[in-house]
Amino acid sequence: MKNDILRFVNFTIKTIVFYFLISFALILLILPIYYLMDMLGVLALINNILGVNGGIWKNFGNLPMVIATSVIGIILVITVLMVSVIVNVWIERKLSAKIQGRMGPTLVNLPFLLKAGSKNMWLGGLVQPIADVIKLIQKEIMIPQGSYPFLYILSPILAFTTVVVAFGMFPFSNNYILLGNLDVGLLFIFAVSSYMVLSLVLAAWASNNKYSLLGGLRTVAQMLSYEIPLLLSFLAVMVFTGSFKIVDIVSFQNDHFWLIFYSPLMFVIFLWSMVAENNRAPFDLPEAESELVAGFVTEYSSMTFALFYLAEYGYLFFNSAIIATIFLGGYSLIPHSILNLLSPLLQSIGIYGYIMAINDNFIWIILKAFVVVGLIMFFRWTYPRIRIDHLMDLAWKAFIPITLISMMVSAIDVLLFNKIPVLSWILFAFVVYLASKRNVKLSTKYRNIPKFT
Amino acid sequence: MIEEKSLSFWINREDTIALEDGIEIKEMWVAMGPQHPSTHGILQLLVKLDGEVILELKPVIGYLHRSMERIAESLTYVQGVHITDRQDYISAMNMNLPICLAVDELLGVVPSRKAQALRVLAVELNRLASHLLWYGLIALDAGAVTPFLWAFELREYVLSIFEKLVGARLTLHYIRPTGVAYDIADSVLNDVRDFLVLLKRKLPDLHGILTENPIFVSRMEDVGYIPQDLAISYGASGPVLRASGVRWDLRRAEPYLIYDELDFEIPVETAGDNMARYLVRMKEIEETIKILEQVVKILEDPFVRTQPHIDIRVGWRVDVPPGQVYVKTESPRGEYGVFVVSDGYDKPYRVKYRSAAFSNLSLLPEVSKGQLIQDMIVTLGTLDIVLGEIDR
Repeated sequence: MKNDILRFVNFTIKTIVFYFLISFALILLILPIYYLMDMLGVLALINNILGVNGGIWKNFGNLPMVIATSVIGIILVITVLMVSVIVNVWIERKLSAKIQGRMGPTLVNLPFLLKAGSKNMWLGGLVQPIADVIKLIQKEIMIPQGSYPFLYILSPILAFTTVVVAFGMFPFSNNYILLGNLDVGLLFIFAVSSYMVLSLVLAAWASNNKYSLLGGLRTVAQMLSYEIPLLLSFLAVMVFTGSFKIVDIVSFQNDHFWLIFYSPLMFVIFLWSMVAENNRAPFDLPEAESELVAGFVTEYSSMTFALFYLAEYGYLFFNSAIIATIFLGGYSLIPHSILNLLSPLLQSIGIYGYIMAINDNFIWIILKAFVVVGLIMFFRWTYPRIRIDHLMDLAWKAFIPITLISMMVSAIDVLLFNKIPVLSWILFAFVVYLASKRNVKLSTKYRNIPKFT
Repeated sequence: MIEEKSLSFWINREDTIALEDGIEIKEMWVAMGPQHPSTHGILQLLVKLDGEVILELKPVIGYLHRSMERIAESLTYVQGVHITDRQDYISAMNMNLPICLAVDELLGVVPSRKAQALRVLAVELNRLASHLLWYGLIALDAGAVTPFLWAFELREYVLSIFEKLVGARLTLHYIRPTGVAYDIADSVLNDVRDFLVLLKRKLPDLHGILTENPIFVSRMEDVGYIPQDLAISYGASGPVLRASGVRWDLRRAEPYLIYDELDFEIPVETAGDNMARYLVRMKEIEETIKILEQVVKILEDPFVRTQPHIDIRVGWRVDVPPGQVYVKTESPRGEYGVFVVSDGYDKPYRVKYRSAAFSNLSLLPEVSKGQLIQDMIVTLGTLDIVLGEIDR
């Protein structure tokens, strides 16, 4: 028992340390670029073109300006998307390797960094995803016999486009919203994300493959089911903030506190629904390799496959960024309410100015998003795949009733307790109690249950 | 079993149910395999699906048929051992054993105690390797990748022991008529001892990531139920039979080699579902560790160490007296037997192998009726088939 605990603690500490090292290495990579751009005035330029309020639409009457800003904006979005995908894939491969006792990619390096006789280890395989993409580009796009070529090619493009549009609407900081800051920001983002299911179903139907078709059917069932608890849990939280605008949601958290502490239950449900929406393990039924070969991507090759791949990892990062925005305080490191409380202390030490200077920065949302990404990756590499009927039961019999109740509970909190989440926490404690009562251990009909478990 | 009708008949056949307004519901035939990630080799499963539910399933075998029984007739007895390696390549030692026992019996030779202990050591080590690989594959079938790599790493230790013992890793050809091919070195014996310690330390991890996982338990429990009478009537054996509540292990029921003097238990479950088969195999790993520890002790005995490991009079060929014999042993997959007819020459007149996995696989069409596809894959995984042994 003692050894078990020690092993668990050891493993946890090691992985957490490893994970944060990766995150900080990432920030160290980004920071110089950021300050270089700042020094050269590029940030100011971008800010001028894609200003805070309105984005590309502020130049609506001026057609050449709209086209120019759109092109720049889309290039920016795709760049951000690509970089996040590359880092995501790399983290996933390194983290899974760490969990499985492997090393992960180490050998791929940039040609101008290669030195004869040296070990070339320091990039740690960071360019492996780039090499993968180059390999995929070189391959031939196969269009299977009996398929619908138009839909077959259209669906990966559609999948990728939804991610780009969703990314464009996302505020990485109160200054940098790539394409525009809408009043119904999050609702719009969720609406755009829903197009993903369409593209996957089109891919499944157009492939003329029975595995793809089965994967597509699973996709519809799963993504439509989990859209409901996702939005309901989001609404239960929005009762507190009173706005769908992402900037308002973040400023509410700055004025009060992170929303995860307002409704922890909704955080859990939102996270799991996000994982299910994203078709990640343990909910990766549409592409379950043990029964459906590769699901809806069975027939895809080359860039058509790469676009699905990019869309999946882009969504992974994007969903994590949304969770970070809604529940973890968004682009500010410490809520302003806490900073105001601590300001006499900080001023006496003399670091108040520095903290205020770096407190609202897009780096924090990237860091928080990567923490959530790491969490989702832990799920993937430690859990088996859930069964389809259990998946449906979880959405319809557990998540939706709980979120509906939680909406009412949040409303009561707002009305009676002046936005102090008393009942939300009581509900959380109750659900945790119920979950712990539900016995998921092996039934006693088995004789050979191992003793050390 | 498909006898008369061709493959294309089954794949193109569509059963239609006409609804109103000209809409038709069609049940779908899916040909899973022979190129499929989880059909464990090159097995083809023709599956009739109603959505996710399986209505009918037909396993198609024969893609790995290499006419081993005919080849065995054209090789000498000693040469014939090496083709058994290619049958169940996951546990090649277990495949070597029965034909060697049969030749011993026909020759009237009783191998030395050391040779017998070495045979048990080899066979049980390979049983460990086989069960560890199976553990990884069942995790893969259930959709978890990490346990597969953990188990594969442990299996790697067994293979490296074999590498030091035999020189090969997979097709071992270690057990020969009247003994074993090579003597065991002290360093290899130490490796075995270290590996057992390591495996005992790692087993809780393997249980921790799968056996305690609620998703895995929900996937395995009450799925793929095989009643006792069904298992017996289909000739199932090994862990599949023992998970259905039959205490039948040839190492205890009809002991061969030195099994009657070893202390170990036969794990039995009565539930008959996937979890029962899982637990039986995991318990067998522990029991196998117990056996190996005792065998290592026997081999440490200085008197045993001085004995010969093989009868050197048997070279590449030996004339075997006429007669016929059926020898059955407990392989990791169940009862694996061989029937040998000798007509007095150095080559057998007829060799017939009895495959355990073949009988176990024949249960799948019965069990998988009405299951989800996901459950069928896991059920197939718990039956633990190796196509090399089925097709031969």
